[in-house]
Amino acid sequence: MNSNALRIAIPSKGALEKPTLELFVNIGLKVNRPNDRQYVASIPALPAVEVIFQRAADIYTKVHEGSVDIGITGYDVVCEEDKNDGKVIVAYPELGYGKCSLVLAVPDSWVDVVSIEDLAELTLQWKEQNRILRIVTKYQNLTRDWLFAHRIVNFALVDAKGAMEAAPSMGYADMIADVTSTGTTLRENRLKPLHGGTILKSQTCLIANKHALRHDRAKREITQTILELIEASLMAKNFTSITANVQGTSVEEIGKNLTMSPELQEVTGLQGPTIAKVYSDNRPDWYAVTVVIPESQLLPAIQHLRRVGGTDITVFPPRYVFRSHCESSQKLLEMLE
Amino acid sequence: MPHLGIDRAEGMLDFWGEECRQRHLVRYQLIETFQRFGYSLVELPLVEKTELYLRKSGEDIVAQIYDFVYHNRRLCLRPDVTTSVIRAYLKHFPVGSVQRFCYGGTVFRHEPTTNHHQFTQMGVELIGSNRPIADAEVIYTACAGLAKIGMANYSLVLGHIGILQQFLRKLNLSDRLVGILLAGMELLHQEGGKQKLENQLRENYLTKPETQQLAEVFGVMDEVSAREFILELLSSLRIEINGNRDPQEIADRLLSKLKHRDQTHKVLKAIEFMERLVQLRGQPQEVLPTAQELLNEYEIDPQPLRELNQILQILTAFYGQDHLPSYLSLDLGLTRGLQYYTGTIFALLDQRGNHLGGGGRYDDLVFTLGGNCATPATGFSLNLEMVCQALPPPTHPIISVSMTPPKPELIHATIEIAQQLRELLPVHMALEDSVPAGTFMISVAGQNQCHLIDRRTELTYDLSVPQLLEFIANQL
Repeated sequence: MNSNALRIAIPSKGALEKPTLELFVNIGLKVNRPNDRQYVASIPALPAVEVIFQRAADIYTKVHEGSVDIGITGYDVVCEEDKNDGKVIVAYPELGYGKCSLVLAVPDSWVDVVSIEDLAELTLQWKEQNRILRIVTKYQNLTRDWLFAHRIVNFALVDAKGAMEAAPSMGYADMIADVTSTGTTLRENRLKPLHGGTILKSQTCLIANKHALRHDRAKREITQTILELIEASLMAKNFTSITANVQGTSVEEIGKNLTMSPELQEVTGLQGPTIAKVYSDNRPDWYAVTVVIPESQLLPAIQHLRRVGGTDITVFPPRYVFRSHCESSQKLLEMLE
Repeated sequence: MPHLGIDRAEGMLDFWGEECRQRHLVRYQLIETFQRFGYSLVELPLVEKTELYLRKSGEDIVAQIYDFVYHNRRLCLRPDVTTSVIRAYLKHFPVGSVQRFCYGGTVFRHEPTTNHHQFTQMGVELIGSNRPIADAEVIYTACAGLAKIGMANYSLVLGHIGILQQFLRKLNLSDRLVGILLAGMELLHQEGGKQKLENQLRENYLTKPETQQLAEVFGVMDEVSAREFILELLSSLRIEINGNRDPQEIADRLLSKLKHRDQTHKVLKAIEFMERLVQLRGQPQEVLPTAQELLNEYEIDPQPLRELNQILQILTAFYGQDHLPSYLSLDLGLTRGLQYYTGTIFALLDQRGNHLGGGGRYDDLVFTLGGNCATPATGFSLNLEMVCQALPPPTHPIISVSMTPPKPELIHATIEIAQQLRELLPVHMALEDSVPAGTFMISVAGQNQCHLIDRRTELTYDLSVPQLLEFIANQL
């Protein structure tokens, strides 16, 4: 183990492993893992980084205790395990995958319970009968705090053993609080999420040990590099690059035609179109126009380019979009202060 | 790896120095005052079974409990002392007997909005009497305690939770809704509070239920046939009813839910009444007649007002005057959170409106916690931290002596002199070179020879031991 290396924990097995490895490929930092049974890997592009594969549920703890410096795990895990002592910071909150919701769900057969208000009334009715609502969950802190905040207090949390969704039908709990992305597992186990009962919306995030990054400049700088690449790569997903050949008498004329009204701003690039002369012996009046625009504006932009005489339009996805500064890197420095 | 110290747990408090001395003094004076009224001191555990608080405490408190499982037992740090007092009363005294207890102790509440999760409650409980004289005595004991510790410029606000409870009961609202409305009273005291409360209630209680037509259908059926109808309907739709609940229970709840007509009217009526109740604030002679009119208008039993009136009359006797002190006022919209109160309640506020403490009548708690007969009770607690914060800093510093480290040959002589001085005042014997700041600094120079510096005047004296003792005695 290289003690000066930045140690980064990424999820091993489970739903988050594959998309996390893909994320690193996308930002040009492919993780080199000799074989699936090894828990330590490297990133050839960043020699001062050591990758440790961990269960997503353990990554928060590892970052908190400082045995790894940064980690990638679900925001749900971070909120649930949060020790509230400021040792762990969320350096990049939304990596765009692993999206899920922590929901309260009751058996389908509870036809009288549809919303969180129904549940609240049921707990009060049970309190009168000295009965307590048993909720099975791996997210005890989040569930308890959320129910308390909604003035529901007559419940007991049951430790999750094995397949939690089966607990209500097996009888050791009355209902569950668990994460779901599509709702299929809930439906298959005859459970229904309660209206107004979403405790947390989550996705994968990047967390860091505050102490490690604050006191080790090298580790901080590598983390900033990673953040910079992630931010630019995720930003690029929202944009598309279009190049078209446009006939005209001058750069100014084409520029004017393209940007003649302010509402065209969205389809004429981040700062405006780039216009360059096309070299052609027999046709001297052709220009190449390139614009980088939000993905959602693709077709309006193409229509607009056609209107000003554009043809041979090609579209490329940009790999990165770097802005004048990296927002997440700057936020990291603020959080470390 | 740098050495990292271990900080205290979040929300917990350390006390030392002058602050600690003041707390100790205030505690002592309060307990002494409570004992003058016949309250006997009790000391009860910090750790209780969580179940004790789940039984009756309001949702507010339950949500703030430091609750944990230790060796499969669900335990908690006590969030208040009253509940523990009642538990102990049930264990050690005949239920229904009149008992007076006082206490001072730490309680823990995890209030996410504040950084302070540890408080010290100083209070009394008077169990077994529902007479107005009991309420008046408890209220006056709190004020007598504050007077004893030198608290000036505080205010005493009296209210009666029974008025609102009676009104909400008459509306026949669900327990959940009653809880939300009771908690909403606090909002109504604020600017724009009515709007906030209505927003809170809008989605679930201020919209027409989707089942309005079904409500009309079931409205004309009797309970038994309606339930059979539902069970038959569900079975014909192949909806299996199970999931750890009795099908009858599910059908009954569904039925009561379906039958629940549009509640908008009732909720708006409740808010309107609450808003008018909140206006009833001020001097008793002004508030009581207006309150009487309001209760008449809504056909509410005026018993709470009669009780308040009787308590106020008895309080004048306590104050030894024919009128009440000007710091006393009524606020009929006072609720003191979602707690276990059932009747007269009161709050004590400092000049800036900070809560110093309060209390009131809780006639159901003994029964709820397992008493075999209804036993009325009343009590209060003061928040020691808030009380100390509102007090002026102590004006009389302690007069004390610091003795310089003795030379080896004079250890015996120094200890002997220190022991004699300790009969008169606190003596600090320095063991290392740094001598703490006492009023007098004494160095022992020989068997019967001392050098004294009066730190206040910087004058120095060379004295024999008898002279020293006489000098010090004269300074006290």
